[in-house]
Amino acid sequence: MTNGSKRQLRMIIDLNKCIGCHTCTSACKMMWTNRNGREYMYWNNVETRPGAGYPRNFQDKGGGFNKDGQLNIGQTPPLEDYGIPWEYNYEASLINGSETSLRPNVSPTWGANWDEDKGEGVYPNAHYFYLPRLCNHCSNPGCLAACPRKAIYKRQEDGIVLVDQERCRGYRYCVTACPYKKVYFNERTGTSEKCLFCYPRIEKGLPQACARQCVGRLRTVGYADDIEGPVYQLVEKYQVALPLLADRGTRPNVFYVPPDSPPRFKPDGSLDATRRIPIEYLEELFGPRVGEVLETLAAERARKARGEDSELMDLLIGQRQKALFKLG
Amino acid sequence: MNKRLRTASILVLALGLLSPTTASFADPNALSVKPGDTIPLTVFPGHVFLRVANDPLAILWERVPEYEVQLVPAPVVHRSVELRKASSGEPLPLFFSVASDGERLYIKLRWHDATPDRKTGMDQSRDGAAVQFTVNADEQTSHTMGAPGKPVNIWYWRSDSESAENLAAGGFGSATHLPEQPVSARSHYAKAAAAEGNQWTVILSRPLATDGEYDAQFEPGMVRSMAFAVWQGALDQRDGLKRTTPGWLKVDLSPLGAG
Repeated sequence: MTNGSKRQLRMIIDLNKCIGCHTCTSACKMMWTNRNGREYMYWNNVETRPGAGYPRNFQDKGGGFNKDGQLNIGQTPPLEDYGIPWEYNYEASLINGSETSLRPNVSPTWGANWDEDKGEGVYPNAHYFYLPRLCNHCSNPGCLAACPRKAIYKRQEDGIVLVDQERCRGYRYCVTACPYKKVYFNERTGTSEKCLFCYPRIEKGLPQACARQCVGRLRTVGYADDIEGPVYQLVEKYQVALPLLADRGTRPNVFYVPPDSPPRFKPDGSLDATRRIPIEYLEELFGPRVGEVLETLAAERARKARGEDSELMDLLIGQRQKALFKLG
Repeated sequence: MNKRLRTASILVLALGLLSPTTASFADPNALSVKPGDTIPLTVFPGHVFLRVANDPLAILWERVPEYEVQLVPAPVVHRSVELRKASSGEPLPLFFSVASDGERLYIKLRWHDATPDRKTGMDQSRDGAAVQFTVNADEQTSHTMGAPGKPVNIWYWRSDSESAENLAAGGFGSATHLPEQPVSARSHYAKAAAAEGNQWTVILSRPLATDGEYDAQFEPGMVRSMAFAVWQGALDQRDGLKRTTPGWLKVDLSPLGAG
């Protein structure tokens, strides 16, 4: 089922519940990327969709595999497309008063969340949703295929994709080969780095920091083959979780429950039957099954509203956060 | 070792004394060699030494014979390189010398490069150069990174940190940073009137004898196989995107015993 690994850890992210608070990003950054040349990196980020994403327009930067299974060439995003990290002159402006205004030490032109809440459309049909993104720990990783040194490997026990920092010589082929641009080059160490799926936490039976800290409880974590687990239920049983940009051929192991949206307003103020977020846009991201999934969710939500039981809705609501994680 | 080359070396030495080498592409003072040729090691006279370790500007180098070998794009062995074939570059003349002061082996490399690329960034590659020896003097192995069980020892100079790495490899993708790092290097980038005349000069050196399991050793009487590689940062070259000697050259170490 998975390329070389015996088991595969997966994560499901319910986009209907994301409020864009960036607690996941903060948790990740505090744990892994606020130091030692990683300052510009967001192993986890939350981007507003429709929008340019992070790094800027990563979807147009190639990578992944073509229809014959051959690795595609990709483009390396310049640092500006990630956003150049900046510091503030706290000391000068707030402590000793030698400068009058508090300002960043670089003139920012772009950042990880530059177009936050912009979205598309005009009132009253403006729309957007939040898309948290991290390494997909793919079953057919483009980064792994791109490395001539076999410095990237997939762990047998959980399918987590890691960059061996001893073997990596900083060729950066992996950075371009990842269609999600979730491998980052550390200019200080001269090696490439990426999301570890918090494997030190997983090994202790704890969910990833991004998943555990999520206030909206939209992340579910478990093993693909655990029939009793929440991940299996959402991906295989109810089939409401879809991979991002599956056409890139890497077989991601992070899945998304696509976002529903309210109906559109007609010019006379009455409601249209169509959803405000265009289905075509969602299909670009999550593939052709989006409509079917949204119908399943609507039907189950209606059952719950009528006071009937819905195992799927109970699972997605996640009244007890512990039920969202099954790491045994 | 053929007589022709040895005679030529003496001639080069004489010419070097009369007219110091210049930065022209077809250097009349450098003898052209090709894979399979054997060149003699030059041993500095006892009273001559480098005042600054690995000094690429030492006047001493003008008295050491220089050879010219044509580097060509390395064979493509991985999809990541194949996808970037546009970066493989044209054949590149490399000028080199091999010398010893009786304690260290010195490799001098000189090549033309219009731009000094000294940074390794997310979208920037550095200039670099390397010399490769078979670990076992008498062993036949691939000139492209050796083969499993038949390792090569590589001395790699990198422009970003102006340092040398001591590596070993046993086939493609296996280059490994060795626990012992006895190789040192120093470079000089010289600008000419026209950018195409700009050039790197790099001196790599190491004690003739070391303890490392994968270090090539240099003893009197040996004939060592040797190959070169140059990476052009401006072409985004790294890894197998490089220009190399298309086969082994040989260096005759018998002058070591003569002194």
